[in-house]
Amino acid sequence: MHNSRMIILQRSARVFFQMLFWIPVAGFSLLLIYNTLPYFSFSKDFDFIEERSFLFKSNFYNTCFYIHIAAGALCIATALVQFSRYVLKKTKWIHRISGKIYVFVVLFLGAPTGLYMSFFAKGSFWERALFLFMATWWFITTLYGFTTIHKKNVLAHKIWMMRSYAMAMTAVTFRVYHIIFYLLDWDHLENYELSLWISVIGNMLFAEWIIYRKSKRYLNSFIT
Amino acid sequence: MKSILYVGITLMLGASIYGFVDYNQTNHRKEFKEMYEPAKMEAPVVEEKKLPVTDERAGIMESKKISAEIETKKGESVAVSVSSKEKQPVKKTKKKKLDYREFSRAPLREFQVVEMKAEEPVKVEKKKAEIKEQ
Repeated sequence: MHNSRMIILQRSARVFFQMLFWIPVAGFSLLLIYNTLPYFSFSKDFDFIEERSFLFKSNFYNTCFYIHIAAGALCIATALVQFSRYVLKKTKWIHRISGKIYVFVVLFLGAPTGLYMSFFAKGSFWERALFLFMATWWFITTLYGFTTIHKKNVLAHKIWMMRSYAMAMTAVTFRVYHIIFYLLDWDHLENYELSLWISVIGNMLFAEWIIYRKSKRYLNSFIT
Repeated sequence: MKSILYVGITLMLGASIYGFVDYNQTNHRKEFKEMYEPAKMEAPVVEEKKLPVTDERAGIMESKKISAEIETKKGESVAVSVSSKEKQPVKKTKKKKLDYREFSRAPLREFQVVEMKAEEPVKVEKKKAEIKEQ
């Protein structure tokens, strides 16, 4: 009786903490997608575009930008269902289709356009280097995630996809930090640079921490 | 499987080479260098003109309380005291408005809001009716 109560309590606590993580993640992801949609009016009347008006004179940069934001929105939307156990167990075909869309979008659209645009990113040399690294690491992690599942290595697939998703989510976490530092009265450029570094490093560390926790449980299963 | 890999890598290499070449071409252009610099916006200078203060005016300004008697319908007289301050300062504050649209990479705007303090309500003190005997 006591044991069953404890198990129920543990399960409900786990569900609660999962909700505490996934509700803001899903909410902010959907907000990002919602805010991306107006860009497809192809109007130049956006602060982001106005700031880079010189770059937007180039047709190639223009094309890369629109491909990149479409790819970003699509991969964030498709990734939302990928970590659901329910979807994995009950409707595996959804996981497969949205996974294929995610991989295609990242490898062929999101990462290459991001890599090109990173040369012209805001900030100093180091911020541009960080954007270059982000695009490359996003590509590599997604590629590994894809190749490992083809080799039926599910565990490695999970790990690499977590790393890939962490990179994709830098777009979301960056905006959250950006607003927090803005409210703390930080200067715009400092705010931008700091938010960028914290979002990238923070997301990478968070992904590694989750992987470590999961692998610890997996390794412990051999002992008991 | 391999074709996906090759296409992806080719795209990445192409993007990095083209990006590097393009960056080197635009790197030294003035427009590019000044692109991310914050726009220097100078606040408009408003000259505060001081009106010549005449003796009469000074007298009004100095008086902080103006009292008057108003006759009501019933014949009661009501003493009205108005407390006025010399200058009502206009507060200029930078308000940070957050909107769902601010959830972007674009620079966040600060709205300058001019806050006007509402005048204090006129204090009306009712005094007991004093019947004026004429």
